[in-house]
Amino acid sequence: MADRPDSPSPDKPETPETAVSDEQVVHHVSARKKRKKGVGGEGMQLQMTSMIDVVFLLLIYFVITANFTIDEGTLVATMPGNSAQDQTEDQLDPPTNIELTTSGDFVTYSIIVNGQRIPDASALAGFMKNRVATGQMKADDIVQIKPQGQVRWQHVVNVFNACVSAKLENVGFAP
Amino acid sequence: MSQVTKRGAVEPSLNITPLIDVVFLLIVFFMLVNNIVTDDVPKVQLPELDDPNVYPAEGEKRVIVNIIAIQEHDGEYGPGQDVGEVLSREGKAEFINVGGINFRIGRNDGKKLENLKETMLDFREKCKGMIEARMINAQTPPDIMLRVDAAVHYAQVLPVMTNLQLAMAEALGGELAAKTPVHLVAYQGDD
Repeated sequence: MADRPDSPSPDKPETPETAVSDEQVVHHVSARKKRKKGVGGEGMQLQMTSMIDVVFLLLIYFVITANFTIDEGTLVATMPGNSAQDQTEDQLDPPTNIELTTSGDFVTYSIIVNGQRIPDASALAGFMKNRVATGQMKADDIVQIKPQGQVRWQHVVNVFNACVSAKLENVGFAP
Repeated sequence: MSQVTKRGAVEPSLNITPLIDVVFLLIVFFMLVNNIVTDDVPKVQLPELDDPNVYPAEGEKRVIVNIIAIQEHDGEYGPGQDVGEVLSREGKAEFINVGGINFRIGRNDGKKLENLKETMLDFREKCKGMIEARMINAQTPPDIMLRVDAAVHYAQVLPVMTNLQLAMAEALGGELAAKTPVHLVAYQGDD
């Protein structure tokens, strides 16, 4: 705006002072440049202040929002009541049930697969892998996790993760 | 300085060009990151896995359902917490949080909660609305994610999952809802 005062603003009265200002403009030198020339006669200089302002703003924004998704990952699950887990007629095998029970304390829980007790989640991954490898079940067979009400979500997801480790493709929750 | 002292010699004017530059930059930036509004992700102590097989969710759009546990203390959040300590917390859920809105499903003062049924219906309605609003196209639903506190009992999660599935069926239709998975969120671990 300051660079094109050839078109004087309409609200400005014609005074001798404006004439001086107009004269300055004829040389196409902005006030700031002129000042700089007067001081050092140096050439162009980058105006960093506004850029730094913006960079700080973005930095703060990223710091605040970056907390999300850091260290967070997901497992693909089927919810109870999803009809994809309903049995079709060609699937005669009953779904594999993984029952989770807890004895009431906070940390321990038991895994029972088709009546067989498994010590922990990593053992479950090995057990399921073995079942697929020996042909006792297929990788896309329905597997349903059936936790007791008191089982912590931590354990439920851990068991789910073990099933995913065993490359099972159709893991869900029993309704 | 001479121009300033001479009255009227220099017309004072705002240089708005860099301002406009910055404003446009911010507009573009906010449009790009619009999906990850912090409203959607309250602090939750997620499950920590033995041998994580999780992957980062990369969907363009998301609907995040959070279940927030009753907190007895101002514990730290994040991976690397003492699992025993986390699990010794009370296993009750206090809120379901969707899109920045809290649905109260439990109280920390031990009083009985009324109209829980209505709350669940409201929650289902909200989920349905969010899924419909964030559809990528008619056949591609957003990533639906379930962030649940590690300490929460399964009995508290089951009704939420059931209602979420119902909301998906209402929003997407039975066929598409059956094909749409829900992403369980957990910590990724070191690798």
